Amino acid sequence: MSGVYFRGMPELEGNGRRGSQPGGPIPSETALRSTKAGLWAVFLASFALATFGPWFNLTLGYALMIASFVAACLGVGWADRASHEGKRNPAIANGIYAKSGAALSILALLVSAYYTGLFVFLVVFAPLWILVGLLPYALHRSNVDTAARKGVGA
Amino acid sequence: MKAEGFAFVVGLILFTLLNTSGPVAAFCVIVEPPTPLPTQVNGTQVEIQLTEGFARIVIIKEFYNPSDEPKQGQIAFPLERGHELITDLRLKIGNVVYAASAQNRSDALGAFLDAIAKGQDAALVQYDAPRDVYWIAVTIPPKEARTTVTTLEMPLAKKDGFYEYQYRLSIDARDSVSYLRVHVHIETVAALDQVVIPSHPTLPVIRHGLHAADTYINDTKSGGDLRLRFRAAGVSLSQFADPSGDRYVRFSLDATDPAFASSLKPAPRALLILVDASGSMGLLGRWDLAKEAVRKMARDLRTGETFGVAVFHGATVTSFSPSLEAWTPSVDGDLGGFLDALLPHGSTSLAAPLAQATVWARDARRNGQQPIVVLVSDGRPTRGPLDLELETAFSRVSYDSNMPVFAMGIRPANHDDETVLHNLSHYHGGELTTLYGGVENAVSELLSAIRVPILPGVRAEILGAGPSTFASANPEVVWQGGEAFVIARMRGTTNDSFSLRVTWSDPDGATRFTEIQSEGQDIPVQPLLKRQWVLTRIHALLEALRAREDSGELDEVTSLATDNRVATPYTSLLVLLPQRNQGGTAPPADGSLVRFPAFGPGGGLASPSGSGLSPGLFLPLAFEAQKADALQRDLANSLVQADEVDRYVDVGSAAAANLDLSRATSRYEGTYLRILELDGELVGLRSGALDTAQVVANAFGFVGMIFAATALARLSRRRTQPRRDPDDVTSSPPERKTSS
Repeated sequence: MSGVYFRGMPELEGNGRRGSQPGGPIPSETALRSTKAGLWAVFLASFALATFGPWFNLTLGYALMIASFVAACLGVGWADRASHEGKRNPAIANGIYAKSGAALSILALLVSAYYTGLFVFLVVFAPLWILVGLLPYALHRSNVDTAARKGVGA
Repeated sequence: MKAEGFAFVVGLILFTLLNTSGPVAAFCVIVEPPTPLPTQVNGTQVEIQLTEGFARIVIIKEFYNPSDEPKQGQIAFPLERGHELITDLRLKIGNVVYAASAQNRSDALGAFLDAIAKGQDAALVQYDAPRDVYWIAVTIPPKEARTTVTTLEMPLAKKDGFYEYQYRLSIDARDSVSYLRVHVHIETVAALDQVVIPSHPTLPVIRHGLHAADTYINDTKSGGDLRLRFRAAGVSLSQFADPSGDRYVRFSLDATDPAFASSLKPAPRALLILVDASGSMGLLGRWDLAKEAVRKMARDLRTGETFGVAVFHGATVTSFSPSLEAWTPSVDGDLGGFLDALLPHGSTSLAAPLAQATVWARDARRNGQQPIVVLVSDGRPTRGPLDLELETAFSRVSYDSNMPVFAMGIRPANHDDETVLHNLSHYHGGELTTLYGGVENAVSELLSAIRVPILPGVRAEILGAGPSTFASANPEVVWQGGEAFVIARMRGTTNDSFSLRVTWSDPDGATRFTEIQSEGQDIPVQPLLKRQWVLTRIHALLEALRAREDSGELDEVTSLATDNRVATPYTSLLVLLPQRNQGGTAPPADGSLVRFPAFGPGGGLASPSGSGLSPGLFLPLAFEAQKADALQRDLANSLVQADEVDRYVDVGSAAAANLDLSRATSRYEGTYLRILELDGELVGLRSGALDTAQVVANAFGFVGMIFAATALARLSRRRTQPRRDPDDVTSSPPERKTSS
């Protein structure tokens, strides 16, 4: 049997080995989407790395890295959302998908940020980014807390 | 400061123009750096005067500077050796004409730069050695016009009974905005027999009596170049005496003259065929054409004639046979096999086979044959000697061995390559034939252009006139289609009687002679004869100096050219106009313009194009692109593309350690590749170590791609939870729908 398996991966449907139990936790679509986005981000960044050499094309390289960056951002976003969904709804199982999606996306983010020069840009303007980064984070926390209070009050 | 600035700009323009790569490939070219308002040539008027053995061309060009900045009108004259020399320059402003003075080359340049620094108008004719061109620089104030009057003169040699002159009219037609007028005046001492204008067959020729004819062109769209042929009937004897008491006499006798008839014996030919088998000859089907051409040349040989074939590439010169061979069918077969066995590869040094040619030439002379070099090449030397050094090498061999150099250009890639062959193939009456497809025609054309001596040792002696100085060779060799030609200077007047004896030997050794005796008043006066003597003498001295430097000859040519106002590689013509700005300042303190390589030997060479890489720490992708570009540039180098590199070695290898880089000459400096000329071959020195960062990135890239693609394929088969409202945390888990 070939393929890639992750430890903690929810059971595969219909593969005849470990079928899901009726009524058990169901894999989160958001978490799965996060992993897919992370894998796409890794794929795109890897593709860009594979083109290094005499045949390298700068436009293609930037396009791939930026696409990877965007996919990685989506992957991080979906991983975050999936983790919150999982906390609010025990029927939804994230398994390893949300974490792996986040890990792959962050890895791809680092690679694409480094190769596009964004990383240096971020480092140089670190204080600014910390300041600017706090605002969306505060908004994000506020959003999450509001959702949690709604859930308690219901 | 304004004058200094102008001087600096002018110097910069001169420097830029003279260092522009690539030879100027046409006669009388206007050159200028790109500018929105280029110097304009309002019109050109050309006066061509032709007579027996001499041509004088006066080119009047009106320049206009339409811009608000002072400019230089630049005219480059890529004059062929033994052809025209610039013998006068005048500058016309309004109705005032300023004449030139001839000076030593470096003095003239210094005076010119001084003048423009002081705000003076000036014009200079100078020889640019690196590019082998003469150029005229004229300062033109804004919105003003300047008219240059340039005179060129050249001795004309007779070929097949005709004197021939060709003028590059197409260049003037291209540049001239308003008008292009050409007036040709032919006037001969003997009766003018025939005038032919092959380039303009419909052009009317207006005769004036027995000795003169005129023709006119008045059209800026005249199309091609102008080619004229004319001949005079009978013996040609003319004279001229100047007030200083010098008398000049010219006499010529056609090779076909009955006096020579019983004595003519064409020398058997020895064709020394030097075949370029470098990498570039392997492209565009050149090698097949070259092989066929060589075999056809050899097949043309008759009894008593021989040939040798030397094939050269890299440091290797391979001869078909160590000695000269006569052609036979079996030799032809062997020659075919020899050529078929060779595979073009490696660098091109056109001088490489000259040593072999010299040996064969000596053998040919011993056999009583006339050696004739035929260089078969595409004309792209990639290894030294190059440019002037290469021409000097060919010149030396040609004149030392007294043999013509012909060239067959095999599909030359561009005009520059063709020019290289053209410049190498004019010694001793050699010519260039270009082969693009029809081998039969090209070979016939080349073979029919070959002339051999038919009467050696023709000696002229002026009787009873005291010491005489011959500008023409004495004794001389009369070649097929040529003439016995004497031009000499002596003391006397035009009224003095003249007696000339020409002696030669029959093939059987019997001495023959012909005597010309004439009363002075019976000899027609030819006013251009002194100039003809001067030009012929200067050409002879220049050719001798090109072959071998001699201080006595150098002094003579400098003195002769200065006295007679002739621009040569050693003398220049300078026109200085009255100073406009008396408050002008001194030239740049360091005089650095004079030291510019454009004005000295060895200038004009482009520096190696190093391509240093920026660290690229901040933009790794851009850095990677720079590396890729550098590598592509290295691989796209013409020497690599044309397979002209003899061998490659990796940096750090044992072969690289054995290279003595202190003796190497760089031919290309790239990022990952250097091409060096060393020990007679081109060596490509590759950056041997792998680019570790690239290899690691590639490895990670491929592993990452495989991993991600496999995982995605697996995940695509997953059953997933339908999307729900993430905020709906109170709702129960979705029930699975079951059918009842």
